[in-house]
Amino acid sequence: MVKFFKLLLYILLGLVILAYGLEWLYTHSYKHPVNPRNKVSWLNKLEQKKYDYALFGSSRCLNTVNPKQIDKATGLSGINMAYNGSNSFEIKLMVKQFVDKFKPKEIFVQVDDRFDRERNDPTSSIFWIPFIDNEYIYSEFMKRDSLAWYYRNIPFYKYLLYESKIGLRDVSLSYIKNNSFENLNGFVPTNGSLEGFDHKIKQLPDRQNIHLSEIIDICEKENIKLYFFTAPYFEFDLNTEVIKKHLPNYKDFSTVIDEKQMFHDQGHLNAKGAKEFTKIFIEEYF
Amino acid sequence: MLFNSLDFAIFLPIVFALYWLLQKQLKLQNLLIAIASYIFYGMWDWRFLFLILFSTIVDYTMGILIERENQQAKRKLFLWVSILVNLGFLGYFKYSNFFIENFVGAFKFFGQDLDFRGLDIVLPVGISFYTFQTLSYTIDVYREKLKPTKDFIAFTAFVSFFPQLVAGPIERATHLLPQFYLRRKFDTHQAKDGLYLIIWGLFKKIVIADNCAQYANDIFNNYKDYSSGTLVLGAVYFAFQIYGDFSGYSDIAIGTSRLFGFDLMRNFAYPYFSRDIAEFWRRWHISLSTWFRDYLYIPLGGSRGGMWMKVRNTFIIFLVSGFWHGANWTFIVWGGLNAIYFLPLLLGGKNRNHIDLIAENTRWASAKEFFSVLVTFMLTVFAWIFFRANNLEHAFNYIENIFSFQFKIEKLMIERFAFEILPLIAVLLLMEWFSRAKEHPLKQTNYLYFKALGLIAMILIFGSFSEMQEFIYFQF
Repeated sequence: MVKFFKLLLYILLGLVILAYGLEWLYTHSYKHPVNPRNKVSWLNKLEQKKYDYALFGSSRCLNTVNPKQIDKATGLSGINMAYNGSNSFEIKLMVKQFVDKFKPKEIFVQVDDRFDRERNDPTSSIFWIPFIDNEYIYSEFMKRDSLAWYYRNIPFYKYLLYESKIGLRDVSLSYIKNNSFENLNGFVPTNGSLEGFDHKIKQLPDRQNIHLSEIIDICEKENIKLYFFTAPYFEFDLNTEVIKKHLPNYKDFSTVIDEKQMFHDQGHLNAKGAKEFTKIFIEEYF
Repeated sequence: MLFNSLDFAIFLPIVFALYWLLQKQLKLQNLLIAIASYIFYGMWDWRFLFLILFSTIVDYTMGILIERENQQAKRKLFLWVSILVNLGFLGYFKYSNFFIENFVGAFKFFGQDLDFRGLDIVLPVGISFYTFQTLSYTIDVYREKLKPTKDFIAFTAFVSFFPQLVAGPIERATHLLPQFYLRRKFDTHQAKDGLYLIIWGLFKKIVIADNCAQYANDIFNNYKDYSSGTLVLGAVYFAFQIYGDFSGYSDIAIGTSRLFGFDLMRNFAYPYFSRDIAEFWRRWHISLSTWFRDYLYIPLGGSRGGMWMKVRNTFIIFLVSGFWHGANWTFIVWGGLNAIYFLPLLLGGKNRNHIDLIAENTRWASAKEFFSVLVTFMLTVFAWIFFRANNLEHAFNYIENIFSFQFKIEKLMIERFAFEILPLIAVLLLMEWFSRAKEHPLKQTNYLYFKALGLIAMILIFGSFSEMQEFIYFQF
């Protein structure tokens, strides 16, 4: 039996060493990526630089505001840190990490029909999990994800659990495939024009969003000018007065573009629409 | 409780430690196995424990009554009580809706609309497996091949033995039950081999089956969107999904049993290296094939009574085997198709042509052997389409789309895991090929520890955890 337990021990030891080794390799690939696969990993790769402004939000900001166009027109230096699917929780994490690293002069946060959503969205918060050793990120995850302790303390557990999103494929591709956002300072245009649609209506409840409140506090503390805005929609009625009531420096652009061919779908401008909207954005803010 | 779950990873060491602490007390060891097995099963649905317990009591009692009784008619009556109770449960839980639907369908065909909806029945996990296992007991007692047990605890442990309770191997009472009477001594070699077999089974399940499942499910569910090449690939993925899933489960079950000093029968012997369909059925789900051979084919007359009897009995075995897998015409067609594949071999007297090992004295197979293996595999893959399809219409449409002859393998090009799944299958096949003379690739080989560690690394790196699938055979 002693021999058996010895073998078992060696196997467990091998397993632990493998898990630590793989944990290090995968986390290293996200922290020091050759080709970042997502914006969170990109944030770690970005070299120290002075940014005049930074944009945050979901795909409705990612596909909508082109920093290269702004920089060409104004001579400023900016970046679009928005990424698909992020809600206010993920936006807050991004703002906090970006501010800690770069301290930009101005920040723009896109808010929309998800203003009332405070929970984290697993499909977009997953990208933060490789960085769980960061105290701030860990404490935020601890508040809303019962597995946060395991992500941090059990080696390789997070990569097993979410292997389809941050597993082998993603890590391998980070060495061999370029991303679509790096060359355009974080902007990703979409193609195609909107075809069929239904007129949509959404009523937001009249209450503040705790994560956006925290963003306001972060910017006040760091003396950064903060603006909120809503990007264009097509045939979508949203009671943006609620957002205006709760957020400072808010501007509603939801109806500034009404040509169908400027949209990829009802919530996202296509490349042509983004060019048009970025012009409006420059006129308003710069 | 799933073998590839955290629950089992906690459950197994606890039971293992307690079990070997009781090494000198056989009765307590058996009691522990019975209790652990009931906990293992009860974690799915405790209500069905009563079903197992009832079957256990009935068969235990019938076994004793059969032995005590001298009159043949009464002995037969007790046997029939056992058969009817067991098959009655199986029939009710598994097949009643199938018969109702077909009954209503038949009436509809003749213009009579019956307003009769199916029953809301939950299928108890593993019922087909433990029913057959416990039936083997009463039948063997009746045939006087086995003395009935007077040890109810041992019998309860035999019926509910957790490693193989829900998906086999289906053990013969003559093989497994006597092992519960003997004092088990810890055998280091046996336990080590069990551990390696568990690792091998986990590799087949988590790396091969669960990865293939993602592809196979997507392609079968959206077959209308895909071209011929992709549909063929979908069927091949399913072939490896079901093999990795079921043989992986069997290996984990056999390996776990070895940790407790038990020896279970082999259930798979590299079936995809078979040179004809007869050899395939000697290597695939061996415990079920031999069960049907011993308890159905031979009582029906077996190969005695001329060619017509052989053909009839062969078709019965394959059709019943198909129906055993599930209450759906797809399984019956799958069984029938295998019988048709088997028929030319039977008629030509060639069904025992390949009882030796493929490429026994050479490293690689000859061109002829390779071709036979390929043809057998293709026939099997074609039959698997029926096994996987939701209904016959789904299967026929899938096949029709394959024969539209558009060859574009979209899935191979664009989707996730595209670049790793085929090499992984190649790794599996190569490991199996070079171990074809052994029970499993981690048996008596050099650098065993490092090979096992390599497999663990592959499980961690390539394993599909986020979309972990239940074992397919649980539904049967």
